Amino acid sequence: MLETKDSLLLILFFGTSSLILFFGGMLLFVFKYQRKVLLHQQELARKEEEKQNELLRAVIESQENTQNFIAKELHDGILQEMATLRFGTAHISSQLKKHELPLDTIEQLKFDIDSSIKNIRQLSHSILPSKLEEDGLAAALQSISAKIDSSAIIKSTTTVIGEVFEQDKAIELAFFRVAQESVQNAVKYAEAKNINLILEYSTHRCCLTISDDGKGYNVLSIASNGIGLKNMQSRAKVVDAKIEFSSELNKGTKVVMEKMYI
Amino acid sequence: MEIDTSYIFVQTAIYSSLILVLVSAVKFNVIRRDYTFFLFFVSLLLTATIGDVILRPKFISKNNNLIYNVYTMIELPVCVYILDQFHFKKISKTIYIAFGAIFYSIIFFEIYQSGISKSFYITNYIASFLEIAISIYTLFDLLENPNESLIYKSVPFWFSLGFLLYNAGTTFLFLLLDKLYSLDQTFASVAFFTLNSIFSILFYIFLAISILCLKPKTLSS
Repeated sequence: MLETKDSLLLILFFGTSSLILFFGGMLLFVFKYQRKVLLHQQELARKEEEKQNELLRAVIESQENTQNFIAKELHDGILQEMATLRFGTAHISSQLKKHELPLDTIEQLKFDIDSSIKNIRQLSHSILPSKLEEDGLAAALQSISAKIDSSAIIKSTTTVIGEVFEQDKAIELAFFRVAQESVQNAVKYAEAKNINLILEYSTHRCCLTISDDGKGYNVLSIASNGIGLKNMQSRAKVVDAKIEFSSELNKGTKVVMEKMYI
Repeated sequence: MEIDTSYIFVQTAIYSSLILVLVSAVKFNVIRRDYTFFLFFVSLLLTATIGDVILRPKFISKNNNLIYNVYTMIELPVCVYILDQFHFKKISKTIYIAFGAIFYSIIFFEIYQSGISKSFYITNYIASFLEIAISIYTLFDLLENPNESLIYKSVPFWFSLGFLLYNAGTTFLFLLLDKLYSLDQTFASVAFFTLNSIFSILFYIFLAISILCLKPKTLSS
């Protein structure tokens, strides 16, 4: 009888102790796991913050570049032309004082004013493409290709697949800027012979692929330092689109930007 | 240990249940508006405790204390319902319903097989095993799908931890209690009162923490 009681007590003691130890183990595991998760989350947050800062730097640098470009254009182009016009009007004034008819000078002045108007229009279009505003993304991309093609050094085509649908202007501008940047990279650095733009529309999706047959680059090394790529990434991120870069040395580069509408 | 000494633990456990009244009063507005089921659970717990105080002398030498067994039969589904309220996944709902269904199936099968007295006896330890399983499932589910950035700010965390600790301490007691009573009634009573009271106190503390973690679901106007 006593032996049975003792054995029951032993079972009770060891059974309860084991379950309490199990409880302690569970508690320890939960807190350790929670700590690990927290550290992981902090690490992710830190990396995300770093990425955001990099993108922000790219945006600021891009703005600086645009401002520098405008300042340079104003200073070297339009300001010089204005100075010439000022000189022309002074010349007319002196001719009139001498009772001479300044017909040639006025003709020259008219030519200079036309040239200035053309330059100002070009500058304006390079800042905000009128084609995009007026005719939409597909037409604006086709105008990029046409412009490159007209140089007769690089061949460029734009293909539009699917039924074109209207998108928010900010999204279209992001697609256009990515295309502009990619084409500029292909022309300036890649020494490409062919640049192809494919704009693909399908249900709930718009995808732009820019590919060239240029020198290519190491995506990983450029991705960490290249302002242009970061700029494109930030443009895509702002409109909640995905962007992917793939490139192989001497085999060209491909940039794919995709916007989903789900 | 004398049976009188073990009553000290019983008394302490009864008084410590007042901690639940206190925290419920502190959080009364939140509970009344968004978590009325908590109010029901705490009322049920207090009713069982008070009922036990009144009826305990009648059942002093028996394991199948009617109040506790009836309470356990209600407690498990309520516990399942409370945990379900904090989990919005479909899979969790199914699992919680399955736990409740298993519990009642076993109890009703036992009533059919062995009669009501025997089924009351097994109620406690079947419930204990199921509550351990529910608590472990909830803890792992909380780790996988946290509803708070810090797990120790989460209501179901403290709630299931309380159940896990209480059941870790009492499952073997409930499992062996009937045999212990048949061998030594005094010892069995002392063991039951002491262990059950100690782990009840700890359970009340964990439950009180979980009530303190309650946050309003809706903005008050």
